Amino acid sequence: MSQTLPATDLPWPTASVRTEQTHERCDTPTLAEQQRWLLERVLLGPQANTRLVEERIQGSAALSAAQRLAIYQEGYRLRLLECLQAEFPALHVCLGESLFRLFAIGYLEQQPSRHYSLYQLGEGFADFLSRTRPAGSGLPADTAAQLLLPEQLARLERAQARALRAMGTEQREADTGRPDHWLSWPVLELPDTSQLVDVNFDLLDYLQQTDRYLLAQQQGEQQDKPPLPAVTSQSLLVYRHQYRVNVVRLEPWQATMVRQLQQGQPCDWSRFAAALGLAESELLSRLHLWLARAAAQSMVVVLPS
Amino acid sequence: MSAFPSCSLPATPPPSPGFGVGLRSCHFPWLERHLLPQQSGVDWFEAITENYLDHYGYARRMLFRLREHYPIVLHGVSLSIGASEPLDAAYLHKLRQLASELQPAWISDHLCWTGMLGINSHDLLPLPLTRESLDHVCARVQQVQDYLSRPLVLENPSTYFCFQQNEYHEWEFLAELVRRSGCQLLVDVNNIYVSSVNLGFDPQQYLAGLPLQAVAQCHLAGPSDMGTHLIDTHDQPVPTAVWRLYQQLISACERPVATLLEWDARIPDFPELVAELNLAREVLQGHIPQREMAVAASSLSTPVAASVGRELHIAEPLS
Ligand SMILES: [Fe+2]
Repeated sequence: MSQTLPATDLPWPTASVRTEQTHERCDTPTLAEQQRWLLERVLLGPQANTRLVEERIQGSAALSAAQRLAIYQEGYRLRLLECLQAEFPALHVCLGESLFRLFAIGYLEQQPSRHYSLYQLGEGFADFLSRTRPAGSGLPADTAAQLLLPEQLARLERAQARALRAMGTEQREADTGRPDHWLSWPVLELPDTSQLVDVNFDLLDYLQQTDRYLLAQQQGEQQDKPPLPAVTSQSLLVYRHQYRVNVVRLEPWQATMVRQLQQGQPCDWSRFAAALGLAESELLSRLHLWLARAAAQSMVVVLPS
Repeated sequence: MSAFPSCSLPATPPPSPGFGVGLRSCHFPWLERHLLPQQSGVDWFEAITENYLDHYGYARRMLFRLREHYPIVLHGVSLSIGASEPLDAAYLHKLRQLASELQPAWISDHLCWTGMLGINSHDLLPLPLTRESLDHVCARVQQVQDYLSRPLVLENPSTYFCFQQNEYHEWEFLAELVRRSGCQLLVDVNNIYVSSVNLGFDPQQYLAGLPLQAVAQCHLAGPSDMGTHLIDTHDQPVPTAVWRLYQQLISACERPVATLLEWDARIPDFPELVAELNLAREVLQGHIPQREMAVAASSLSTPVAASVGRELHIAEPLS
C-alpha cells in the first residue's frame, strides 16, 4: 500500500510523492514526511512556519531546535548565492551586493535547483531577470533601455560559463582546418563552445573593466567600480580556443552568418550575399579573410568539403 | 532486499594510496608546472564527482592528465543516498560512464540526502536515524553497488541537529549499514569532531563504535568556531582536537588508511596545502600540532565545492 503526502506550503507546484510504507502511528512521521518537512523549511528559510520544530528536532541549552534548523536555512541561501555570484561576477559588480542578492534570492525561490550539478544553477537566471524586468512604459527611452542591462549581462556571462564546460574543438583538430579552396564556399559548423549574444551595450569593454576591477580587489587594491557600459548595439561571440574562453565583437555580416549556424541552418550563400547587398565574390573574399582567423581560433569549424 | 552484501564485492577496502588532497581548480596552473608526484608532493587526489560530469573543458583535461600519474578517487555530493525518492538514474549513468573512463580508486559520497521532489538543496541534509531509514539506505546502497559493480564508500557528514525520533547513534547506524550492505566508510574525523561538539556526544565513543575493518579513507579539515557551535567550513588549518582523533583512528585501524586533506574556501597555495598535509605524516610519528581553532571567518559550510567561477578564463597557457 502506498500513501500520498499531504499538500505542501511550497510556493511552486510539486509532484506528489508516494512512499513505500504506511505507518500506522500518525505521531511518528515517515522518512518521506520528515524529509519533505525539512526541505520545505530549508527552501522557505525564515518565512517557513516553525510549527513542529521542537517536536521534530532536538535542541539544547546552547542551541535551540530553531537555531539548529536556521544553520541549514542560512547555509542553503549563502551557498547558492555564492555560486551565482561566482558565475555572474560582472553582473554582481554591476548591480551591487544588495540588488544582486535580491534578484538571486527571488530566482532561487522561484526556480530552486533541480539538477545534480551546481553548474546548472545559473541556466535560467537571464530569463528570470527578463521575466521580472519592470515595464519601461512611462520612462524616458534611455532609462527604459538601461533595464535590459542585467539580463543581457547575465546572458553573456552564462555563455562564458557554458563555453568553459562544453565539448570544444580541442580534441578534433585533425579532421578540421582551414578552407581548402579560396574560391569555393566553405561548409561551416559552430562548436558547442561558441555562442552569439546580441546586446544593446558596450559589454565587451565592460567585461574587461570588471575583470580588471575584480582582479585588483582580489589583490587588495582599491579601485573605482567601472562605470555602467555605454548604450550601443554589439554582437558578441563567446568562444573557446585551447581551453581558454574569449569574447570577440562580430561585424553585422559575421553575426548574421553565425546566427544562422546557431539555428542549425546551412548558409545559403547567394541569398545571404543578396540580403547583405554584396556581390558574391565580395562576400567570399570577406569570408575567407575572416575565416583565416576565426577557424584558427576555434570560433567556427570548417568541415572538410 | 538481501541481508548480505553482494558476493561479487570485495569485503575489505583497497590498500591505502597514501596522503592526498582534494583537487581544486585554483591549483591547476601550479599543477601544470608540477605534474608528477615527486614535484607536487602528494600521493593521490580526490575529485568532486559533480564537477566533472558533463564537463568537456580544461578541468576534465587536467583530471585525466593527473590520472596518468596518480590514483584518483571520485567523491560525490549529489547521490542523495538517503532521499525518499528514486535514485537519479541520469546521475548514476553519468557517474558510471565517468568511472569507466577514469578508473577511480573508489567512489564515495555521503550518508545524507540532498533533496526530494526533484529539488536539490546542494546541502548534505541529516537523515532521521531510524530503522526505516536504515532499511531504505541499505537497499539503495545495494542498488548503487550493483549498478557500479563496486562497493560504495560513504562519509559521515557534519551535523547540526538530531531528529527527536532517532533510534540509533550515527556510529551505530553506520556499523549496521556496513554489516548489511557491504559498503565501506570514509571517516571524516573533522566531521566527527564538529558533530560531537554540536550534538554533545563523545568522539571516542564514535570511533569505538565504528567497524574499522571497513574504513577505506579518512578526511581531515579545519572547522570554524561559532561560539555556540562549530561549522564545517574547510577554510583553515586542522585544529589539535581533529589531529588527535586522526591519530586515534589510524592507530585503532592498525594499518595505513588513505588520508585526505580537504580545503574548500580561502584555499592556500598548493605548497602550503602540502605542508598541512605533511603534518598528518608527523602525527603518525606522534607529533601532534598544537593549534587553536580559529573563530569563524564565514558561517558557510562548504562540503559542496563551488568551483563554478570564471577563474579558468585566466588560466595559464597550456604546455
Ligand atoms: Fe569530508
